[in-house]
Amino acid sequence: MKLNMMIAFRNLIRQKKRNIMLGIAIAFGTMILVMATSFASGITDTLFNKIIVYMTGHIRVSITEKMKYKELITRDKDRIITIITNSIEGIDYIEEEITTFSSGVGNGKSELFPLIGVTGTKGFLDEYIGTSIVEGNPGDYTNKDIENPILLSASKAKALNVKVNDIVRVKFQTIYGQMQSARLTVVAIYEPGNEFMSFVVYLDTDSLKKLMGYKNYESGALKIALKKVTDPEDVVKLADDLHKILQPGIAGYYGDVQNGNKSARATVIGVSTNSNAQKLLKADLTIIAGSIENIVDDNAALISEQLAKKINAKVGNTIKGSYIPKFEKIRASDKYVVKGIFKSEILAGDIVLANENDFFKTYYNHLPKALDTNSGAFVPPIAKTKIDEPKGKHPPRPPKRRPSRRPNSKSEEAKPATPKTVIDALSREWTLQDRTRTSDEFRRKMRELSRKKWKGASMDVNTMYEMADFIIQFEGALRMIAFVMVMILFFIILIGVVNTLRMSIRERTREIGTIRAVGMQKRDVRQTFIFENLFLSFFAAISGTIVALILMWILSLLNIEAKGMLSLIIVDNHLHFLPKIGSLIFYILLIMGVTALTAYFPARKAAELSAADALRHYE
Amino acid sequence: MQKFNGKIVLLAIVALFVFGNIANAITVKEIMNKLDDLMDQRSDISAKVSMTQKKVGQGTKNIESFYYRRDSDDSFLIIMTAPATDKGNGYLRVGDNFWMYRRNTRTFQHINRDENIGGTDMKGGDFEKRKMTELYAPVKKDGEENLSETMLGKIPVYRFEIKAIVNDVTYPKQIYWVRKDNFLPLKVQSFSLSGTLMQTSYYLKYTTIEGKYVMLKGIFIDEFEKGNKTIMNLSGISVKKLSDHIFTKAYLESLSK
Repeated sequence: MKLNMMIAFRNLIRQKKRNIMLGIAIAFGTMILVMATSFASGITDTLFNKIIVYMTGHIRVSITEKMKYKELITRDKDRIITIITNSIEGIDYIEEEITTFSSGVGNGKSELFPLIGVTGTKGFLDEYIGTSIVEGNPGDYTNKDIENPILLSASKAKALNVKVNDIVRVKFQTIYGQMQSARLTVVAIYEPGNEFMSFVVYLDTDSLKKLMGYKNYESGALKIALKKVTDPEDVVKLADDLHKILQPGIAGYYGDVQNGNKSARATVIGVSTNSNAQKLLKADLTIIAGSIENIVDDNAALISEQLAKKINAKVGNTIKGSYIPKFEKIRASDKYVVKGIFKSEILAGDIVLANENDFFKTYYNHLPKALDTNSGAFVPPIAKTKIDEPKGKHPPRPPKRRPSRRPNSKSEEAKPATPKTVIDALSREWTLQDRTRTSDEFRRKMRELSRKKWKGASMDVNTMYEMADFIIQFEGALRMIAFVMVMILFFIILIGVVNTLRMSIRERTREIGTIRAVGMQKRDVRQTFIFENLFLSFFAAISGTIVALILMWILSLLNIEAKGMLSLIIVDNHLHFLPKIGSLIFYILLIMGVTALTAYFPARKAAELSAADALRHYE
Repeated sequence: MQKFNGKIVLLAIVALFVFGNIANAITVKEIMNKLDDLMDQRSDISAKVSMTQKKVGQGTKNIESFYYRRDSDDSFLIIMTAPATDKGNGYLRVGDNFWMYRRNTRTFQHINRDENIGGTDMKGGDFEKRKMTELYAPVKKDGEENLSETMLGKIPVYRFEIKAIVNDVTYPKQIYWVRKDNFLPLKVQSFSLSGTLMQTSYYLKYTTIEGKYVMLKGIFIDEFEKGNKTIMNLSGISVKKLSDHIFTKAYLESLSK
């Protein structure tokens, strides 16, 4: 083989002109392929890592409460952040997502725009915005003496007819649906680096939180940005791991329960009221008075016999539960009507099981103190458990079913399909939604969620790749188009290769005869021709790749003033190419393989020539 | 003969005056209760609703719809009849389910109570039957309710201020001007959470139906974006019992055709 390769290499440089021309054609095709696919990767990289990551982070943890308002709200953000930082490595930062859509009035002009809360860090002010300032001082963004300082793009400033130091009045809804208004002061105007930045107006996170009705310890969704991401699959795996960790505890509190002038310390726990939960309650609770079915009534509660005796409560009495919340000094309280008195082997002690629809109204607005300081969760007094709580394991996925088009008339919950004991009937701090892999699955999940009447909190963990997998599909489509077009080009080039090879074989027929006569086998002849073309394609592909890299570097130096959607593919007024080593190697090997395949048949034909006939050949 | 004691008489007159006034003094809570009672519809209702919406730079838009309400469970149905772009679209609420129907896609979509209705500032939550006294409480200054008697044009009115006691109302603070004689609201100013005047509503015309007052004409002035306003007219009001089949998706879909 070494000899064949040497002969092949010598033959390659023997016919310089012809091989150079062929090589240029192959190099040209390679160059186009590399540039087109690198550009497609660059677009994806820009969209994901320079736009979407700022919007959603690599991983996003969001909690929605299915009550009468639509904003995201994380009630105890420090607890969730602690869980996240203890579970994931390589975190760059965790940011609060505080955003609202508002109507703004400038100087005689009005506009709709998203108002985005961003903390005025050095990275944001100097690196993200600072390089594109047109007017004003971005440092004033953190100036407490200025009323709600904002940063906005030049186009937005023009639309509102405002300049630096002008006031923009805005109105929007708080997270509870209340009308809110504010005066914002323009401190700087910038030229946006991409189209998305031109729409938004930036306001300090803490200021916007306050205006939107969030308390200090609350937040919107949490965006997690990772330090170095080379493979989206790594991010998906981290999200899966985080999902397993974020299992909810039971929703309840320790406090005082009062009936008239009698009171006792007791545990109050929310309980589901759907048919499944009622079955479990009936299976475990022995009813002394009243009935379990009446738990569906407004403000209904079932209380343990032990507690009933202590506070002298009977069915029909109104009891009051109160506790000191985690974040407030004033006691929170709620009233329930006793609908049943029970005995239980599993739920020990002085217990109130409250209809969760009413329980959650107080619970979420006044989170109780946690008893388990490690997990931050409430630990109910459970005498014994019949099954283990799933700890650290991925919860079983409910069986897949087609989303129903008809709404259910009865109350439904977003909970695992088959609860087993009375513990499963108890309300959870949140319902952890299943992980989804694509945007379609995510949208379907959201539609299902909107149909359910679950009044509690619903937590979702997703990555930016799932929420915007259309971008990956878009990149895939671009790559496929580029690949197919270049393959068509190569097909044309390879016709030339085949033709040239046939000519070469024809010209070297006597030579083939000679080397066959001195002992070279058919296989060696075939190999020689194939190696010759392999070397040609290898050097041409390498050259094409190098030229592509140089051209991409030159093109990326050009300053391009892009407007509109074109700005999505431009980064800081420059084209962005992202060649990937793996892809380059693959293309080179592919081109070599295709060329070798193309050369195989003529080479085989050459090898089949008999030595005698070949020696007698004259042109 | 005892001397006529003028001082005692004077004291009695003063006492009568003082105690008489105390007995006649009204509180904001009482006015709110009266308003709840006045506005409490205890029957089904259907009406044609016409709105003329004027927005700065966008001209005038006429929005028309039919409104049906079932008293037993506070369900309602709204079908849009104008403008042409919205014709056939509708909203249906039954119990906790609230849907929006789009004629062009023939699909129902779950929405929540904070969604705007038909491109207006009205929300689903505005149609809920909730008592004013459950949502608001009087504002007090130095322990005194902010209640005064004044004139609105030539009509004597009570003016009082209330603030929200729940957090799921649109306007956390409102000032009312209600007629002294029959407690009908004539003017309402609505404020945002930060205390900015957002809207002024004028209730110009009422009618009585089975002893209950129904507003026939109102003007809603946007105080945030000056120049915007909406004029609302109700007509064809009926309190006849409505059939249950009206409050179904099938009926809404059939109406939209």
